[in-house]
Amino acid sequence: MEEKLLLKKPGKSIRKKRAADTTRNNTLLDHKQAAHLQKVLDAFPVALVLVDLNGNIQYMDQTAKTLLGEPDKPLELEDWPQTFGLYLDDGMVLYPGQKLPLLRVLQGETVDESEEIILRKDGEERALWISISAQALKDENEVIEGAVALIRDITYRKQMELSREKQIQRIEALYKLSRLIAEAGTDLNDISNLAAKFTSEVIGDISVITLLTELKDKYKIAAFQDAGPTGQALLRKVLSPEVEYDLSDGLVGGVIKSGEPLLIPTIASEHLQTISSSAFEGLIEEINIESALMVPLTGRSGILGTINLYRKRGSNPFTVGDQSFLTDISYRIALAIENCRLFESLRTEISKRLATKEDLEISEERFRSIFESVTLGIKVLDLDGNILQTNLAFQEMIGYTEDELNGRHFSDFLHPYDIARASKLFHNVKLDGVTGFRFEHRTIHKNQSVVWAKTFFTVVKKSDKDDEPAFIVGIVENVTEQKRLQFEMEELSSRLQNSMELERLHLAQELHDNPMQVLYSANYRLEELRTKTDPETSEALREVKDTIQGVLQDLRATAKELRPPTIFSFGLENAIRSHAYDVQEKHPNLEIQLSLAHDQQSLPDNVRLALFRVLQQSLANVVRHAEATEVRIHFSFDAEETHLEITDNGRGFNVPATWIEFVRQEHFGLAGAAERVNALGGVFKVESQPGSYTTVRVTIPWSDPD
Amino acid sequence: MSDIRVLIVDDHPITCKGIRDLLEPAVGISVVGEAHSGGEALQMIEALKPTVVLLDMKLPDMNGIEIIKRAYKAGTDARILGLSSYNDREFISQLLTYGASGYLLKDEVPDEIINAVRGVAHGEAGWVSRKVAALLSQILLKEQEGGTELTSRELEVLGLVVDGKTNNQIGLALGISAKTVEKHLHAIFRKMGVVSRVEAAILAVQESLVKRDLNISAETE
Repeated sequence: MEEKLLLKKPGKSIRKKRAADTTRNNTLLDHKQAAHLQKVLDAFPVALVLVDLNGNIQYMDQTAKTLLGEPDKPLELEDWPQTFGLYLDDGMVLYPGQKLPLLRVLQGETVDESEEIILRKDGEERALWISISAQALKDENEVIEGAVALIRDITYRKQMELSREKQIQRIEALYKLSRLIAEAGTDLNDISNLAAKFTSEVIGDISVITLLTELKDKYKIAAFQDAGPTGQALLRKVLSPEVEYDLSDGLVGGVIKSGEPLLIPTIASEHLQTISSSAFEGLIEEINIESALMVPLTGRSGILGTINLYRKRGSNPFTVGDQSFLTDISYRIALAIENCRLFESLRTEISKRLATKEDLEISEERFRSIFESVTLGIKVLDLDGNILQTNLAFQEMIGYTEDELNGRHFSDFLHPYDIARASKLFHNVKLDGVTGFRFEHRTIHKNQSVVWAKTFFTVVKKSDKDDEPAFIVGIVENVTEQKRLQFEMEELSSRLQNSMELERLHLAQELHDNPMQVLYSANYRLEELRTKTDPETSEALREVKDTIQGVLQDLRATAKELRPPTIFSFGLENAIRSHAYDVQEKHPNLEIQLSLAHDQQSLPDNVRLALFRVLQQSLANVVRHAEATEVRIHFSFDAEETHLEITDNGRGFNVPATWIEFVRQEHFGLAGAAERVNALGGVFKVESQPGSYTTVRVTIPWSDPD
Repeated sequence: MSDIRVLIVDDHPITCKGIRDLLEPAVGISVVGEAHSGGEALQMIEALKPTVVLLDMKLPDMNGIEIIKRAYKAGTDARILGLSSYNDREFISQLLTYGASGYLLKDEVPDEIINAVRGVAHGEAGWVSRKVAALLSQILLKEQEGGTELTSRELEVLGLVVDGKTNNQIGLALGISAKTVEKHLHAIFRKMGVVSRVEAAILAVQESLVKRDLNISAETE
């Protein structure tokens, strides 16, 4: 009896092999009858590698040779990563040989999922993403004889995923920033600190905010933040917030004067001193800075200051992408800073005006000048909400003259949808002594167009000594353009989503139309050859046929994942049921309960597909994270809306408040599904109680085209 | 006994050829034609009167279900054997419900095609391979008939019907078109198993679906 060691691996079982089999094993594909099969396989766009029981390569098709390169000497499986250049997803660490699907299936493991690996050949800059899946080849006694690996180039898909991820993160970050600014109120220090903290966190590492002084000839350091643990203390030591610096001093002054951003990806150590200024001297000396990014804070009234980011040596340098992201951020922060300053001066002026009668004339004049010169709209209301006075900016924003506005109620100019909310908020001011509220709403322009506005109402007291409210000032910012950008961003990401969906359908179609058909006919041909040949050859051909069969199963599963076959032919409820069966089969301990309405083929394809992706993602999460024993799926719809609800009794989780948190917690699929639902005007909700349950609830409106 | 006349429908000529090569040596089976699209298939079913049609479920111009429906509507008595690469149980059982005589996975073709063609030609209904039969008889999921309960919107509509409102009035009250109201009513009637709004209103009050006293004298269209 001849013994063969599968792998030089202590502790693993040694497999015995019948002597009679080994000769045949080595000649698995040597038969000339199989020669034409090689040609067929060479034309196949997915790379195939066939190994024997010892892991020696028996056959590589042309695609595999092109992708991996042909090894010039016999190769142990464990040396694949070294020889072919296979790396973990950081691109630096070699892929551990023992984890290769091929090796695992040879050891008798079943490997259902493919491994995603970076492929970078020696001396080549460009890295590819590949996926490897493997399946064992067994004889009639279920003894493993070898294995076949299927290797796909998935670089394009990975790139799509990464850029999409980045974009979603940015959109989420900008939303988050807008919300933080809204919550921060009107204190300049708060806004500056927020700006430093946010940019340090989202882009990194060290952030310093500078602001111009009142006369605009000097600048000061307004806030700073270092994401590192010891950083903040160090910054406090090396930066001097009290000092005013001259504009001719250093790069910051240059950015302020030119109004242009400045990106220095890498600074050589010996040049560090040249970028230094007296403001940042300490910082440069103490911290070895590699990369700098400075963006002006540009408001309506001009440059207000700068946001400066620095990264220490050894981290990734800033990119053009970071610059455009920071520019988006700086625009929002500049507006917030302007608002703070406006409030500050209004507050001072109004209280002065009311308190000191003797200075009235001068004050009146100054008040007037602020009132009329600012580019933000201002309206002064009495306690009932009637307009007493407006400035030019406000009149221009909504297209009415001062006379047309005076004496009217402020809500006369609001969009009907926003009136109820406005009245309620306004009422609270009088009743509960709220000192101010912020309110985003639509206003109707005289020409009937909609103007989006953000209004901050603030109550002005009679005097410092008298807390009675005197009147209410509304400061109105026109955010129509911002809204438009926001809608465009949403549309852009939904289009991206759709193009991914198209790509998937296309890929499924492609798989079905080409490789699978070619393999089917190769198999039919083999079967035909088998009847015309001697028994030994016939047996070898049968094995080849089985190999192809295995590959076909793999492809079929992929195609099904990409484009569920049932959904378009037989309706959503059948696709849901079918998917539930597949999940049930793999996870027999999970009890799945269905309650499904018949969609009667009436729902539009995109609605069905969106609901189906939600189902796929939710069930994947249940299986992966929930540790549930029971899941209920409910699908219903009426003439206006479709509903899908998936509830499990698993361990639940704290539902993040924002989608960026979902993305951070790697609930990426769910975030994508939610976006798809939103793009169709639907609502996506996750509800969960840690230790108890999770419910995903989706509603999408629809209408029959006829 | 006359030969079983087979028409092969598949848009991939190479697959057609493969199937033809497997069938031709068999005794008592002759391949009478190959069609590469749905349109072509329907014409050839009509013209060649095959006993058995081997139908690929995915063709460029129409899907397999559509072809089955149209062929039966045109009055063919050919037996249709569905052929596809999907081993999806819902897909297969739906296909059989739509009138296919049998179903064969494309990977099973070399081993099973001759049995399958003979089986359906001899009048077997629901012919599937043992592998597919095993798939179809797997454990059943817990399922209750869904979509029979009224949605909250439908209850709203029903409430207004009980109040004696016309479709236009209901539409106005809910901010939807009268046509959408009509669609809601259609679904409500189907779910409640009634045929008119009066019946629906009576049942709604009897079953306390809406909490109101029924006003029979209200306008009922």
